[in-house]
Amino acid sequence: MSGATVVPGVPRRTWGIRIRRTQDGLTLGIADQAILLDGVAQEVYTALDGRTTVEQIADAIAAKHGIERGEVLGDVVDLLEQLGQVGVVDWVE
Amino acid sequence: MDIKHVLRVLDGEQLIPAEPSAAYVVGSRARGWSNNKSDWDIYVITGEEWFSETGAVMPMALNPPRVVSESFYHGETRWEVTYWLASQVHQMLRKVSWEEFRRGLPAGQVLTPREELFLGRLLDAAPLTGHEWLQEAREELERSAFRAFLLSRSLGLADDAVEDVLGQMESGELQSAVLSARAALKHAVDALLESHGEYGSLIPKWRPQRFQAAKPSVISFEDYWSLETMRTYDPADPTRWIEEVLALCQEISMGVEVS
Repeated sequence: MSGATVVPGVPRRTWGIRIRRTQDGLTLGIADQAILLDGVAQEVYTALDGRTTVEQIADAIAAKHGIERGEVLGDVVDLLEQLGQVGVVDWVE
Repeated sequence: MDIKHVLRVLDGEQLIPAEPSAAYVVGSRARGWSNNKSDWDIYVITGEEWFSETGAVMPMALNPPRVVSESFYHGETRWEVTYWLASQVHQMLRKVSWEEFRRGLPAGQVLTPREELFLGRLLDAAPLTGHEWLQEAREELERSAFRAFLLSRSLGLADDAVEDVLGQMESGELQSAVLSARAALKHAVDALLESHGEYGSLIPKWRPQRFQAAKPSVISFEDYWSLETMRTYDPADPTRWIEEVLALCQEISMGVEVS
């Protein structure tokens, strides 16, 4: 895990989020708010199936983009924390 | 399909006008999904209204506000021939323009079920005559927002059903949650099939055939059918099957592009 950050389990997309895919990326609807995820953020969110660990997601992103896992793991954890704070990511124990 | 036989039957009943723009078979007969009890459904596109003493007039939200349908039995099989004006077809296509889609109106407020069925059937109709007209209408449909209208409706209905599921699970109403999950599955799969140009959600009995024709990559037919027939449902733990459905609904929402 990146530094002292401890993830609370396996990440999963929160049930009940209204998801729409357009040419621009994924739009997540939460109440009257909307978040647009594109690029790597979209790839990470798409991978959150409640079975794949944060490390496995980072490995897949790193492999796809030809970079070291260590370079992406911290960013993935930060992104998941942000998405968790706005209520679109849950954690499976 | 024996087109000459179909035309012979229709000629025998004097149901094809002199110079139609097109005439084509629709529904299960056109798609090769028919059985011995299936009706023959024929659409005839004309330049002038069809008048007869035997025809049934069906009101439409078009100008003129009606279409006429003739039905008869040939042997033990029922045949139905519906006459549409070419100008009515263009009106329906204008209803599903991108300008209308961007206004945010839901599909149900734009098209009546009969109109939706008509447009959806253009793509897999079996032409008897007027191939060129049919091809042009298909191309116009592909350029329209028809798919986006239906897809948005199905995804919205799936979202609404998922919201019901979550509320019911939270309050411990698991039996209701199962029924809502079934509704969510239906609408999400309709969206998936519509994204592949497989329309016809108004006639759910053909969903397995539509699914197999679409061959979506999001989920195999076997896995879909397992969910649909609730093979993994455990009465002691309904939550597991429900969550399988919720996960598929998410996968479909992420997998189909609305516009």
